[in-house]
Amino acid sequence: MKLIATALLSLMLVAFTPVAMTVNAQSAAEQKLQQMKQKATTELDRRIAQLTATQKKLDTAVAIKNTTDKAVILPAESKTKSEQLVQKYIAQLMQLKQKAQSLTSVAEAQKLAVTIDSQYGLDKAVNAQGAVTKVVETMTGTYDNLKTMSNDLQGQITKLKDCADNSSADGCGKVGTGAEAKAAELQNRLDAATQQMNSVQSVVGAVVALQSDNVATLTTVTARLGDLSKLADVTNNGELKSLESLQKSSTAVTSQLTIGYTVAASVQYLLTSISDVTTTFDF
Amino acid sequence: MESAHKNTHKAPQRIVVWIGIVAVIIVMVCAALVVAVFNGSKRDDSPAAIGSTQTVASDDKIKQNVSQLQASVKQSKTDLDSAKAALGEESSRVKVAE
Repeated sequence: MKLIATALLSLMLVAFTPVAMTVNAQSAAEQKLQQMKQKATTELDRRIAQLTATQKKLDTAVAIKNTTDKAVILPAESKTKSEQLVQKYIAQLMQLKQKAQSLTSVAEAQKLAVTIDSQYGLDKAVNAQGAVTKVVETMTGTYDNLKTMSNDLQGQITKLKDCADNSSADGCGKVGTGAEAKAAELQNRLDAATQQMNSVQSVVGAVVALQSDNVATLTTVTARLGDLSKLADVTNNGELKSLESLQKSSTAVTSQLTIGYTVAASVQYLLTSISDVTTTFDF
Repeated sequence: MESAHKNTHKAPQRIVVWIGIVAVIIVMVCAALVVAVFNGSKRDDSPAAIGSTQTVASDDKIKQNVSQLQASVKQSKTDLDSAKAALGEESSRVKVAE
């Protein structure tokens, strides 16, 4: 009896082992597929989140009050192109994410993983150009605010000079004594601020031109490459070579803007200190 | 007789000449007036005149400028940091392929 039971058990083992092995292999493959899908989704979500944050920044407009000097205003066309590029990439990455979630085999997942990795530089370039475009626009606004404040302060100082020359002129009654010396001192300080503002103007003018070119180049490159969700592995694609020079150019823009920002902050303090004095006059 | 006839013939000619001269003078005076009015309407933008002919920015306007400028400079710093981060981001990247 024992012998029969042992034989039956052995037979069952022989019969079911391949089935069990197949089930195990299937569940391992399924697990692997799920892991790869998860990794792809995580990376695509990260890229989408970054682009969405950049898009939100680009959505806020900077209103320029002094419109005479066009060189220090970001052209509307460059801003629009930059925004469109970011929006297009968000939409294409969403499609790629859907594609990743609908994969059914590990082989397909591997292929898509390579493609997603190879597109990293492209997504990074599109996000960076959006972020750089935004800071260029913000700096045009900062220069505009410096200019407005400088003009208004010049008006107050000139009025003070007029009152020093003729205290009986309209609105000069309460200026008081020593107005001439005060006006001269304030004028010197404003002239110093204006000199520094000129370098901010040069920096902003240069980066506006450079960034406009960068946005135009990237728009052309991405248009030639086509839809991300339909692109295969782009590791050896010649178009990506131009991204390296774009990266260097964008880095140059941010380096120049660092200098421009430092000077702008210094001018801000100078102008604020002048306004602290001018606002004490009662014209 | 002949001289009297000549005088009566010249009289209308003289009137026409005088009318012409008066008309030219009137036209010149009018032109001078138009030029004077036009020049007077031009705004004097020279720095010395700004204070006396234009409205000087109020203290409230200057205070508003100060706060706008501060906000703008602050925003420039934030956006500059974001741009640098976007150009340099590598650490947060997940490598998908194995």
